[in-house]
Amino acid sequence: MTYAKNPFNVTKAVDYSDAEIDKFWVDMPTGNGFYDIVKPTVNMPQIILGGKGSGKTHIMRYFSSSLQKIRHSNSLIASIEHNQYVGIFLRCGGLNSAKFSGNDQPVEAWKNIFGYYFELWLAQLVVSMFLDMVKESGAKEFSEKRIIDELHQQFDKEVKDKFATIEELASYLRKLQREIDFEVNNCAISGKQISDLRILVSPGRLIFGLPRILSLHYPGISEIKFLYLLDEYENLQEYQQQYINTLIREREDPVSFRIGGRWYGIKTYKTFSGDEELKEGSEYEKTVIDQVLRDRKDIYEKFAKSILLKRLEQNDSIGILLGNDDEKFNGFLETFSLSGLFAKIKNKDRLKSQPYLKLLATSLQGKLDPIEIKEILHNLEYPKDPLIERTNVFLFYREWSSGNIGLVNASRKILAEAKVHNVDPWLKSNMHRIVLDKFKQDIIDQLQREYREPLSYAGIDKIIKMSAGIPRLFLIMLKHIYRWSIYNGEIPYKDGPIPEATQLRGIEDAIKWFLDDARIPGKVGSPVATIIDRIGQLLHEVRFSDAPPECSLCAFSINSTDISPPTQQLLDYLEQYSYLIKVTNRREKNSSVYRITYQVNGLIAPRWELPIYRRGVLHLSSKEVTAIFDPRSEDAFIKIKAERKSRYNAPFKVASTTLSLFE
Amino acid sequence: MALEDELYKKIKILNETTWEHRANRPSIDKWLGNFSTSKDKLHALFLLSQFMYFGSMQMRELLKSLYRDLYKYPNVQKIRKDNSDTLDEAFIKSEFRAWQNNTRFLGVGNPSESGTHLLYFFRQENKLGKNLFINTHEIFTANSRRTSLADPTIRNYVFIDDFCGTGSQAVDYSQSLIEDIKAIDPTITASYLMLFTTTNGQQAVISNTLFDDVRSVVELDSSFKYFDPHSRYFKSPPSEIDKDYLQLLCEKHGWELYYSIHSATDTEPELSLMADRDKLGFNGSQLLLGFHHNTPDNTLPIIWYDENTVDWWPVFKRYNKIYGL
Repeated sequence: MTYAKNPFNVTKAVDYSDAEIDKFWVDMPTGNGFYDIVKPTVNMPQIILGGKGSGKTHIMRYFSSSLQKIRHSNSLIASIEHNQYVGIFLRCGGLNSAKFSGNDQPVEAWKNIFGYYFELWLAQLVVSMFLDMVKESGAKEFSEKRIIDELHQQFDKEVKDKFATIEELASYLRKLQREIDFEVNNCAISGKQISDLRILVSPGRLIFGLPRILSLHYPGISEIKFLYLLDEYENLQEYQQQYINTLIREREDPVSFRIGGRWYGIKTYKTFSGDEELKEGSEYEKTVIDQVLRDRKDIYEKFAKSILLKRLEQNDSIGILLGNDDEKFNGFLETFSLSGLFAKIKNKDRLKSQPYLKLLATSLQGKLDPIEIKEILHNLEYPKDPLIERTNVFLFYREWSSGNIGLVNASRKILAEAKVHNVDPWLKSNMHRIVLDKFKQDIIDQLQREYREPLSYAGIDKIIKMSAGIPRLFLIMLKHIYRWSIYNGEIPYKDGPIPEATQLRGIEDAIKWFLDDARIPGKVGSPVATIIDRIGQLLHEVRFSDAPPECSLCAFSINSTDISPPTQQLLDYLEQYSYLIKVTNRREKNSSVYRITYQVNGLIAPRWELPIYRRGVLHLSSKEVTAIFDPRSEDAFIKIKAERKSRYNAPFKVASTTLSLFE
Repeated sequence: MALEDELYKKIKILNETTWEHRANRPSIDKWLGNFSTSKDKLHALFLLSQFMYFGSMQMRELLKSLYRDLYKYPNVQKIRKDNSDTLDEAFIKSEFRAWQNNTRFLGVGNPSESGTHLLYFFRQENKLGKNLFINTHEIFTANSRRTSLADPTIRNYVFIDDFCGTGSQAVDYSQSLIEDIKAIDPTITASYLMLFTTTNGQQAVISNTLFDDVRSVVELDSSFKYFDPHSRYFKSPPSEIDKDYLQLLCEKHGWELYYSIHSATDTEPELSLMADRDKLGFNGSQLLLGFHHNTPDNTLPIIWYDENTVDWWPVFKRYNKIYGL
């Protein structure tokens, strides 16, 4: 049986060949796109950070010489002439940096050896690129001898007899590197001292010297920038980053650096210049790529949609596109419709209908006269529109929790307002209009939950939102949705929109993948999993309470003074592994105290049936912060959760422990 | 997660990884449509989630294993043993080549059946020469006075089959054939090598034929019998699944399905007896497996039945043999 290849299968840039990087490239749809972030011809070094899967590697590789060449009909020279820079890409993971430590060797020796090794590695990449260029140019005249003479001078020891051509230099550098590899790999076995190795080049002499000499003596490249693109910076040890930070500080023309790494992967900004730190703004610029994409909602939406289209086009997986953007994308992925939900509700067994009214009746039993209960239920009923009916119940609980008027009167008032809303749904003073303005999605979700229908996270816009500015999350969701679609016998993207139910199954799998992939290694993994689950549970309980205090609740805030060092550590992990996204860090009015707000990552929000669009924020008290962030004590968490539940659920008992004035 | 959901999810993964996308959701749902109640459907889904499928890639690997582990290595061992455990590689290679040149590989069954069908892939995967393969009619030559071997230099006949359930087909097919070969020259060896066999099937072939060597790559013991007391399928079933209920369900439908199959060739009272015997797979095999090229009739018939008499939708259909025209 033949079946279509999933166009979203590859989600990691490291798995792509150069040709595929080019083929699947999608630029940011604003200004000059990612060029404006990488700024390849600018001297100022850039540090490009981002969460896992934010697209750093794809971007870094795109600016490398191999990709420049592909973009210019396989001509490196044409690309350099056109771009005025040449990108030298290095994946720091490939350096196997962990081997440059330990084994009872002096720390200082490791520092020197690593620096030397790094110098040799980058020099080889430059030489290889240069040889590629020479080969392409054919008969172009340049004085190789002058280049070689000057390169001999870069070494601290006489090396004239070691190489006489660029080709020989390449072999010589390779030989030196292999010697280091051999000694370092065997030092634990041989017992030899690493400090016995001899370093033939001072730091930077090749990294800066080689590009300078080449651009001086090779025609046509005198003005170009040699751009070292160092990816996966997080894979370097602290002292190794410090070494490269020093090179960044002491940068020499025509060289500049672009550093790519996880945003928590920068272990230090220190340099070896008296341990001083690199200064942002004057010595480097920093961009957090997923932050940029998250902050520019419109741009990210367009970007993500372009990624989707590109994958489909490249895979010949696309049907005929008709209509404007909205119609086109909604034609791919079904979106939620209220009428669809109403139809499902209508088909429910009579015994299962109006579950919220049945629950309300139970809550009122024993508190009111049965005749009064009957009248209340009658007043709140609105069978022709389940959303209005559920809003009536929502409003009733609100009235009950406020205790302002009698419950029968409250139900009469709601009935009157519902009638007004029916006639003029846009009347601003109408209580239904006011509450639906803010709580419409919450009420719909309550309705779905009470009717045992899955909450809807389907549709292109929601999927984009859930990916939280991280393209890999977007692709992972699309990948799993595609798999379910094929399994369900659909012809995705070609024959009608992928149904909501299929999308939800794909999203469930994507969540599972995320939780596996983002599992924090080591001892801290387990407590972090406990904490995120508690946060999710608490937000869920409050959101689905009878009278939730906030709408669209998927965020919480913490007072900065409540954050103990262990809590801070847990919050850092949750943020680093993208379970939480820091939203704001605001000072409270008339106070020096900061309130920090975090949102649960949209992708995992469905796990606790949380919304993906944030509006309200749950402000956590000191006691709640302590209970949530102490993974050892489940009892304290259960207690604070119960307190919140009783506060927001009928019969709205006041919590046994009242909050202090400053909580 | 509800059991039904879990099972669908498990089947999805099987479908993507090993089932070669043969059973997508609509075809599963269509198959479940054969069952009437939701309890029946859930039990059927549970059964399906345990179906063992060997796709094209697995079959090719098994054919490699059959040649290497059941033919080549034992003969290399024998050569070494007969020559003082020699390690002389060139000598071993040359002896093995000679041995192989004196071997002919044959399929079990007529050229349209799966045993012979597999020979093509067997030859491809193991890079063997065409001359090593013959049809059964090429074994003998007959003149007016007597039947003799067509090529007396051939010392080994290796019969290859994909599957041996009860052994009856192998016995029927080869019993007289091997007897005839041995009658002409008792020193000739005949082997019956299979990809899969049940323990009982293998024993039947050993007991009822003159094969010198009967072996298989995969042997299915009684734990592969679906409702056997030692069945591997019910080690820790979900609480919603009742083994006895499922057995009755399979028997009820299986009886009806096999009754329709046998009705083409049998009449009462044998017909009912045959349906009773085969309701859980041919001769009560109770297997739950299928291959890229077909599903054996030893598998529960509710999986594969695709005849016209009973309105039944198969999930892994069997291309049934039609005997006669």
